[in-house]
Amino acid sequence: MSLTKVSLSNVVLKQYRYKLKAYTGVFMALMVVQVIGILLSIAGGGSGSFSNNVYTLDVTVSSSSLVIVLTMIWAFMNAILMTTKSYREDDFTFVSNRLSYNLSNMVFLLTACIIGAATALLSTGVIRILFYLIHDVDIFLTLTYQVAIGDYFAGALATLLYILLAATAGYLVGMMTQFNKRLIILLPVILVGLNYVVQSNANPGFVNILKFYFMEYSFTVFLLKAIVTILIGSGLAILLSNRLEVR
Amino acid sequence: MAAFLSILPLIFIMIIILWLVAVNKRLTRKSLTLRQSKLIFVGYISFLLIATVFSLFLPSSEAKLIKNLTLREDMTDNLFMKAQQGGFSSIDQQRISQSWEFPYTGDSLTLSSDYYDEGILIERTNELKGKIEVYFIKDWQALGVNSVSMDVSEYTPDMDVEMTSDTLMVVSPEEELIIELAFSELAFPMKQMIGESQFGHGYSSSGSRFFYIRVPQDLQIEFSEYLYVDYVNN
Repeated sequence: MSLTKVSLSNVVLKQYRYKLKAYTGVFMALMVVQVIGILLSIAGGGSGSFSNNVYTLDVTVSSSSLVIVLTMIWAFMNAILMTTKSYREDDFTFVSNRLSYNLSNMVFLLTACIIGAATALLSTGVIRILFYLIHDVDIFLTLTYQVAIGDYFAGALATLLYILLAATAGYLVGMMTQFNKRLIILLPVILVGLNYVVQSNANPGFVNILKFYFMEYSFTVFLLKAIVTILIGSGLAILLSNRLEVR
Repeated sequence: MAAFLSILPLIFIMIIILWLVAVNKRLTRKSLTLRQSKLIFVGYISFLLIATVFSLFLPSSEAKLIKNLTLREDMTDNLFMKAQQGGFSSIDQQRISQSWEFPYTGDSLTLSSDYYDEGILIERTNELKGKIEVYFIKDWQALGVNSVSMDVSEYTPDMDVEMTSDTLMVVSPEEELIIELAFSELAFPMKQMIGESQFGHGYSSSGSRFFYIRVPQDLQIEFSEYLYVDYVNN
């Protein structure tokens, strides 16, 4: 029996620091995923062309969207991995409880997502340089003056929120499958089945969920939708983890 | 090149799979230390930062996006038709890309071209004596790329004309000129935050590109059947 009293924040901080050092594979995986995204982006994300007897004009799209999408998948997969038994048992190295385990996981995922979002946005430069070299580009058409600094900031924050949403979804799905292994098969079956049942001409099914986030053009409303979803998802994951069997 | 680019993603995936298979044993035998991992990741971030700075020096220009392509009045205005109906003087001077003036006192003029296959409009006028005026009119050219339409007319090449004895020759800039542009599209969250749709597609459409040639009233004009030549309805 120990006489030392430890606060929740101290335990969370210790676990978080431990995870930053122990889960370096998460960041190596991020790097690999983003390099694949960068290389795939070189093929171009769309193009337009005009040709006559005198000249041919080609416009190819260079964008970091694919890197962001792959980063979202990385966040989703890593969040699932963190809920697995082997990762959970790492936390028993410290004096901890379910709450500190979840909070440290969430802070770690937040850190990883911030790094993921920043590097995904920074990949634009590499994509442009590779584009220039491989496509023999004469000139880049940009939207520098049509986008305010505030819009860039809002876009960067939206990128982070999308990655966090993917991580939250992954964490919740991971907890659900830890709670009941049969959900690994049941979850996709239920989701696809439900979508098939509700889908009609008037109701496009899953598209509605995508529209809820992807077609929200007001930054404030999007921020609200994303944060509320993340909080609900995280809360549910914590509730589920409390119901998991003890070690 | 296009064929190569289309299979490029597959090549990359195959290389990655082969690499993973090849180094799998080595990876499982000895994993990276924390220090090595840190170094690799810091190196990756430094590389991204340096590339971002370098990318700022690449040749770039502001894209001219066109909103509501079909609704814009200046885009429904067909300059060729307007000039043909005798309204050349009312055409915006900015649309006249180039102009030439040649002294000419002959009775007949032959028109020829190397690759030029667009319109040539001839105006016979009493105002000109002993000279020919040539104008090259270059209107907008919208190109649909993903969900946007953009005006790329400023990147299309200008034409040239040469006068040799009794022949006016339209000369193309060079054989098979290929202009490669790259549109640096904003990432989808950025697009969303500036209110641009991720979905839908842009439309391609072209305005007029033609030569307008003013000649003395009684000058005979000869041309090959391959040239699309029309006269102004005075």
